[in-house]
Amino acid sequence: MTAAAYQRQLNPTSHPEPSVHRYRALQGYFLAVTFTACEVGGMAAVVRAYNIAQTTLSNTSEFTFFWAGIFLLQLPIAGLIARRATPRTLRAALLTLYGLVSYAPKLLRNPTSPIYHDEFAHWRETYEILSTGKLFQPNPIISILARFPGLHATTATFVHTTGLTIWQAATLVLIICHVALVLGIAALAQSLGLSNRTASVIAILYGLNSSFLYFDTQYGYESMAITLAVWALVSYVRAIRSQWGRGRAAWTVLTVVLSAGTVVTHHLSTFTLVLIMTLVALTVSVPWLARGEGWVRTAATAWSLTLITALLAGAWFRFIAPSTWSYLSPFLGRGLSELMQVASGSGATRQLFGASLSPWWEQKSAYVVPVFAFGLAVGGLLLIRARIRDGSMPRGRRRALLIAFALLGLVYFPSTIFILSPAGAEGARRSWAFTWIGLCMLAGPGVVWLLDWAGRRVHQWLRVSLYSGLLAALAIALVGGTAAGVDASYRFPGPFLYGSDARSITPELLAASKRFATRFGIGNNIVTDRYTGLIFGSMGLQNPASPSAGFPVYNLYMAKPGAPVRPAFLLFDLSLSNYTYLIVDRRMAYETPELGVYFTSADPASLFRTPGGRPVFYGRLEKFSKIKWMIKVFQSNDYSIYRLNLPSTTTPLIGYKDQPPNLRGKLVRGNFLATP
Amino acid sequence: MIGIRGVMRRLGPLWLWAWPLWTLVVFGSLIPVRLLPEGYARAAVAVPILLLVPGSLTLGAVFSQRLRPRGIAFICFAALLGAVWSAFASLALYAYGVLITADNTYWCLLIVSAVLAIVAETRLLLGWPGRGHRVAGQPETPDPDLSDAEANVAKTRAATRREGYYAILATIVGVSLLGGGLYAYDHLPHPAPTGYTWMAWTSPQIKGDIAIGSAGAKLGFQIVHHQSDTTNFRLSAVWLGTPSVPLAKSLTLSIGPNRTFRGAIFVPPLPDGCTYRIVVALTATRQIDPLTKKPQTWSINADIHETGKSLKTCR
Repeated sequence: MTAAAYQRQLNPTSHPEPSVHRYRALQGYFLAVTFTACEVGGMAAVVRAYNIAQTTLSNTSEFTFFWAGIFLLQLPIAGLIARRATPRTLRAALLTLYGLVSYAPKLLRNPTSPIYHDEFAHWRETYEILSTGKLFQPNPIISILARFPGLHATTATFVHTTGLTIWQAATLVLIICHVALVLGIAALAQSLGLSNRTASVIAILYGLNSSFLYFDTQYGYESMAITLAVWALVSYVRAIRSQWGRGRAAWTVLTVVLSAGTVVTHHLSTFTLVLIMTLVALTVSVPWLARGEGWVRTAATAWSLTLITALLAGAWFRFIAPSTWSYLSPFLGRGLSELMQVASGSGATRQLFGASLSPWWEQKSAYVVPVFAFGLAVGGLLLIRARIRDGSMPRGRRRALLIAFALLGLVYFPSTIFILSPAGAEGARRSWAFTWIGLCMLAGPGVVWLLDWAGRRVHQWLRVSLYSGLLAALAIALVGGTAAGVDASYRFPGPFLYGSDARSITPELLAASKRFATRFGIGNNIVTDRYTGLIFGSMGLQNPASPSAGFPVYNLYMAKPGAPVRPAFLLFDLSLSNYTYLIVDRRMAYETPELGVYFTSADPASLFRTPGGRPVFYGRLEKFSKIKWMIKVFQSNDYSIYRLNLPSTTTPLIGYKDQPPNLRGKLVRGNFLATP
Repeated sequence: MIGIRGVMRRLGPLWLWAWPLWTLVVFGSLIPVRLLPEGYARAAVAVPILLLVPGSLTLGAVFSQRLRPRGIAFICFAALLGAVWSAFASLALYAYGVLITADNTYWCLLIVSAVLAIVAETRLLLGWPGRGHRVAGQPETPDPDLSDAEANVAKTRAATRREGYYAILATIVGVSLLGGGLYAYDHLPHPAPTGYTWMAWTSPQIKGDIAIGSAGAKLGFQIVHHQSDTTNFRLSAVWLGTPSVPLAKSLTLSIGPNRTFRGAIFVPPLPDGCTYRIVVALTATRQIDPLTKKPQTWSINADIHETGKSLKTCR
């Protein structure tokens, strides 16, 4: 036996046979080529899906291509991450790639300008900072967001520094935040003591929540704030888990800075951050969970940081954004009361996927997600119990923290009930982006256990079948999670769809808005519907009215021809508030809006009556041409703009004479002239 | 001869010893970066500086060298802290009544970075081997709260550098995929945008009644035709009333694709001091409105009165 062969026998792994080397290298190349082909093919399929959606009438092929693309983009990454043999250094890179490619659907959806409702409001706010040089400029689309300038200020700094347009800078900020969110979930899991592999699987699982692909990638304050909140939690957990004098002070400072960043960026994320911190502080104060060396100091640190964050939030809400509570409370209050009505039988539940454009299999998948999540959560709880029993998770900070995040995850299940309430559905969906953080921490170890269990099967066919089954479950959850989020009209481009935020923007509307701003200047107070107001209020830089029960501007549209506008104070209020233009989209008289909203989400039910099978506005919009205090100054195919010369107490309106002028029995005649 | 590796070896300690100050210098270089043309080229240079410098200086100021987060975690913390600092800088400027401009934001962030760099450098010097009270270092006692996974991670600190390289590679691949997707999407055939036509007054802005002089007045208007084909229109004007009567003889127009017609309606002097409403209407003679199923029409109107005549003459 040669010396080399003897050495190889002694240490077979360090000096494999050259043929093994070659086999491994070939395997590596094959894997790399396949992986690259999947990523490129996946991106091509997503592009194709959007192209089909844009160029053909609605069918399901865009959905098929889309999901084929997303599976090709994401599942190979998920597979590699979950693989035991993947080095931890590579997992971080794979997660970075996952963060980037999972931004593709939103990036391709609107690469050049905002299209989602909230995006217009945030665009306008950033524009105001850039044009006035001041924060907190009133926002006519969503008033509350002016009081949370974190995202807008950051975008404005990017614009200042790079010379990019607002939308380009916003996209850059969002991509960074999205990738950091994925990495943040993994970092949080690792800070809870989970292995690199489990943490990375958790980050992939987090991508199944309904907000991940579209909602939290939009240009909205939550997209930035959730990332800040997650990294604030990473620092918070590190502060709790660090030993005294070994970085606890540093992690504490970092927690405060990142929490402050969350506070100035988004209200709901701040509330949730404080609630999660409180939950964690509570669990680290429970002796059965946390008692260990220095646990009192740990609990004190947790409570101190929670208190500091709560005080920062309280101060901000008290002095800078006092309207926050009145903005948020109706969602919760109305949601609860609607659920109570449903429970007592006096109210109807919200019809899930009522007007959805999604195919049946997407909708069915959405129902599978809670079941899938429940199964994994139960598995995660059983694993925790087993680890507590076998002593591998002794009392201490780690046990307390894991229990805290498990409890957070369990909040997801009761919150799903709110999806049945029209007012609560929005809040429920938004909460999932946070509760899924905990849910994934609970489910992740279970998934890894399943993978390892499958890997231990002796028969290869059984192993492959089990892996395929897990991959299929992941794919179904991905489809269902996304379908449970935003509507298909938000997700895919396509032909004009009346009453959808994302598909009601037309060149005609943009031209009308541009013409209006050129001709009448910016900053006019205008009355219009939700979809027209989005463009006029953002790109057009006008100030659309916010209709409400106390300011029912929809009554202008609803009033029958010749009948007075009710209530009587409405015209006076419009005059007092200097509303000077009314813009009408005539399609409201012929079509019902896809989102079920004409003006605001609190539209009165009377707007949705359909006398004779037609919208209530049918036959009631032509009256504007004859109303004495309105002058029609513009008309395009679908939009008409009227100047309001509202009567007031100081200048009573006489109006035009309802007879043509007559000069000694002859009609007064003019003529047309063509001008160069 | 000293190779690149030799230079790096000599520069290494210089970097490690004074990285906060070098980083501050990098932030200072944002001024010459602004000489680059606006857009993605400048963004590629400026954004990493803008995000990573204040953030990494914060980490340097807050953490000792030994306990500072590393690898991907360092980059993420630095980027997010950079974003937070830019928001805080805007808040500070606002609080001091200073306008948020490119220059003011830059100087504010530079001041913040300078303060952080001083703190970070001081910490670095105090913690540098052979100096300060932390010379000996504290003996490591294993934390009983650490999981097995964490204990293993603590032993493999060297891997963090490779993690950074892989992450950079992944970023390049990811950005290329996104860029490629965007390029492909942009270059695929898209449906032609739906055409439209609009008409509007071009005369002085209408804020109420239009005053007509004793010689009459011309009221200008504009028809913009954003359609892919030529369309025939009939242009008419009426006095609105019961019944409405013609104001001018109808005109037949043919407007080509993406063309604008500028015209005016001459309104003669009025017989009395009354206010009258005129309507200028445009009808596409062979175009059926899909909603009303009638020929498509556009109209604008205006209220006019003669300045020289008293309201009392209106009966």
